[in-house]
Amino acid sequence: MPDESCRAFDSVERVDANALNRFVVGADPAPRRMTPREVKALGDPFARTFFVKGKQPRTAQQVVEGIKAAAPKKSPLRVQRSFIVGEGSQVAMSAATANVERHLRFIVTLGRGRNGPDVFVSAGDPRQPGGIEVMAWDAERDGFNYYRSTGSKATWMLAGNSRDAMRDSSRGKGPFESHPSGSLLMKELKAPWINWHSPDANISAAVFARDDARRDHEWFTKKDPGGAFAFELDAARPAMQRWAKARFAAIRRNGGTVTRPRHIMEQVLGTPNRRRSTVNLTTTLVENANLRPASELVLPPTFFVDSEALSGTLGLKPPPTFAVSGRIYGKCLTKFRVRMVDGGFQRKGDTHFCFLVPERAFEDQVVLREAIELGLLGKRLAACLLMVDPWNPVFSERRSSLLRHVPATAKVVKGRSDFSRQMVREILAAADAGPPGTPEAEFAQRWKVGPSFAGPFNRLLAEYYAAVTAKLRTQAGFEPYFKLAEERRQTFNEMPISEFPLLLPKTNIKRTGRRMRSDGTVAEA
Amino acid sequence: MAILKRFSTPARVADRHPGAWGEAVAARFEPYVGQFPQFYDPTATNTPADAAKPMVSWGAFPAVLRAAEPAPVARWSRADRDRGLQDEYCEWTVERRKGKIVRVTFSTELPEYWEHLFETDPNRLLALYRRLVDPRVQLADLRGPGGGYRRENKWNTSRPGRLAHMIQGSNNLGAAVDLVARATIPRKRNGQPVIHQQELVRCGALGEPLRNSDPQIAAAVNEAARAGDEITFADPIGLYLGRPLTAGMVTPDGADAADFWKIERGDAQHTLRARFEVPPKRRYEVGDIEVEGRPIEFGGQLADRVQVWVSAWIKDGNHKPQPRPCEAG
Repeated sequence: MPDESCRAFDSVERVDANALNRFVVGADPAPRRMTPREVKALGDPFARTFFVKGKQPRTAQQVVEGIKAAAPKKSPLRVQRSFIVGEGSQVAMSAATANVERHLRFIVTLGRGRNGPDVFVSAGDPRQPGGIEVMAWDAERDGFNYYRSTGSKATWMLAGNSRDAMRDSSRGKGPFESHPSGSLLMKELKAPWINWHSPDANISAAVFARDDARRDHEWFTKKDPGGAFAFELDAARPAMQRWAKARFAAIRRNGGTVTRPRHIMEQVLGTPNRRRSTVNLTTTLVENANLRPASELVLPPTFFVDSEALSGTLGLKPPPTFAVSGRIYGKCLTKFRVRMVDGGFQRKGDTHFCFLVPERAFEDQVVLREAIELGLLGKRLAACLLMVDPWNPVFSERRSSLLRHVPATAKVVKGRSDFSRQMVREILAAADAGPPGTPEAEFAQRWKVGPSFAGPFNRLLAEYYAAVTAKLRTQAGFEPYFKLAEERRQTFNEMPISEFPLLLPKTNIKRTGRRMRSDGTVAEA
Repeated sequence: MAILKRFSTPARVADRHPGAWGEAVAARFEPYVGQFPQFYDPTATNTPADAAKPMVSWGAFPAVLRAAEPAPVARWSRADRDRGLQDEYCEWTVERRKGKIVRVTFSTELPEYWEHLFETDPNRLLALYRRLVDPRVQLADLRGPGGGYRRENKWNTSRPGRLAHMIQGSNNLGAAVDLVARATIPRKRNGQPVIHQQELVRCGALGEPLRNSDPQIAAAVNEAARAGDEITFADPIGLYLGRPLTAGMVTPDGADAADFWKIERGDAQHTLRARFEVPPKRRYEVGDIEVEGRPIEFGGQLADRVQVWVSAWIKDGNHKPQPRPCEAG
């Protein structure tokens, strides 16, 4: 069985280090040298700076410097910004922690404009030849071209275009393990951006060993002072929007034909396939080191409900503030033996910011908005689908099971489509034919409320929010949520983007298939 | 660089009495210099040319409010209505036409500087108010009951319109100097150095741990202090606006929303005041621009994307500071 993960690039053999090779994992059995014509067709600044001209950068720094040098004087491509992230970046340096693997890596962007940067370079060291990842926007074909270097000479491979994330052969493989919809990935997208250098947590030079040349490199010393705050808003979100908009623009150009509506609906309903699942990670704003019995931890609302879709996109009332006391939370840390562990390193307590949990991915929120705007998905259908098992905003098998009713194709003409009607018909028929309690039956209940769904859905959610709020006041009420958070983290841990031990805390909580229920209790399967 | 001749005005704006401003700043430093040996007055002590000049940057939207009120519309709306909540060394006011936002004005101007203008050049102060805030302003409107300058006067409030300078209780030079000076004290808890920023702020009783600005400033200063260095504000001392993060904003005509940021005081390197407004020739307004599928309905939506920064000088020192225990739990 060939390695189809993103590590496939590290085991390639017999590739030409002096040419650009193509290796779209899953689609290509092995890397092959690209023809001059194929190379010439690449429309991104990275290919045009180097490969089209027969040049090969040998380090990450050469990638950045080369593109800047080749860009015209006032080109936005000369705008360079560097950012740094690392799962062990907040572990203080001491004799006891000197050997902790901090997984520090730089992300350098080139370009600035209404769509964000055109080039993203990711590398652990500016001088490294192998393991460099480059995403560069292809202005000819749209989408990001993904490149990867390998080996001591920096042998370059084109690993695919965002579009390849949607092809059966390459879905969830190679770079699309971590970028399942072809979009840029910033797992820790929101404040306080755990693991990133940010206004909420600086990454100090002291996390580098004294003899580590990176501490004096300009990618570190001149990193963007806004850190993750700037990256989120000026690079990551715009990049995700850019690709989503390009996908939907292609549908419009294609006369409104949606060849694989299931791909879109997987981003609306979620998928049980963890290689194609997408989530972001979020936390409270409270440092583990600053946790006190008197602290109040305002929990991410997206742990309890998909507030960004239901309130932000579909207009339902936002949830109230969900908070738990530091006293209750601290007792959970002790009771469930929460600790950070990597090899010989161990520290009691939570991740740098408390209560790290997965939430619905921003890239999926963008796709939902675009699907509604295109006319593929009616707002009522979207609301009814997302109100199936809304108490479990991520990893809901009930909701994703509705994917079986997604029509095989769809056509949108002048903002109207039969897709919604067809899908509703399918689900309602299944609800009629099946027993009560199925996801289809739950959908049918939601659909029954009619086009004025906001009032009834708000009432339903308000009851749930009240139940949750009451439980957050007591130790016994909160502990099941703490365990549910761990359950979801362990589910996240099955995903390819869970790469490093210090990303998640360890606990003594065993997985039991916990799920939130509509009354705010947590069911143990 | 030698000893600074005097503190420059914020963003080095023109001033007929720069010496008086320099003295006013020096007077604010004076109680701290000596008491905090790693905090220095650059007009009294040399700053070497190779001194590090790190910049600390954060978001203008108040983090404390964001933490307490995660629902976006509710927090934007509350912040727009009450400048008392805008505590990140940046404040803004909103103007609307028929309910739609037409202009949002941001300021990081220190109230102390406007006080200085009131005392040294009231006519210039009045001219600034008339140009930047409202042509109807009278000098008497700016005078408090004791005859001194009234920072929060009838023209400089939370109401819709244009602000003059910051008024929130923590947004002033005195608070910033106090924070930086006191943050030069390394701290320990249970024998371990306190390095994480929220914990440091709590331990050193340096203010609110959940703010964007102070914990980060304190952490940056404290890290340098632990290394034995000496720290002060870089000249020109002040809080400054960074450009807003406009990528991804959707305008009706495809224009880059970055072009709608106009600097009104200071310059691109040191911006004290700027407005976000669509030029009339484009025939649409700020409220027609969308951010992530939602039209701009609140100044807070922009404040989410506005950066604020301050810069420090750090010079090598031979200090061997002994960490002190926490002042607060």
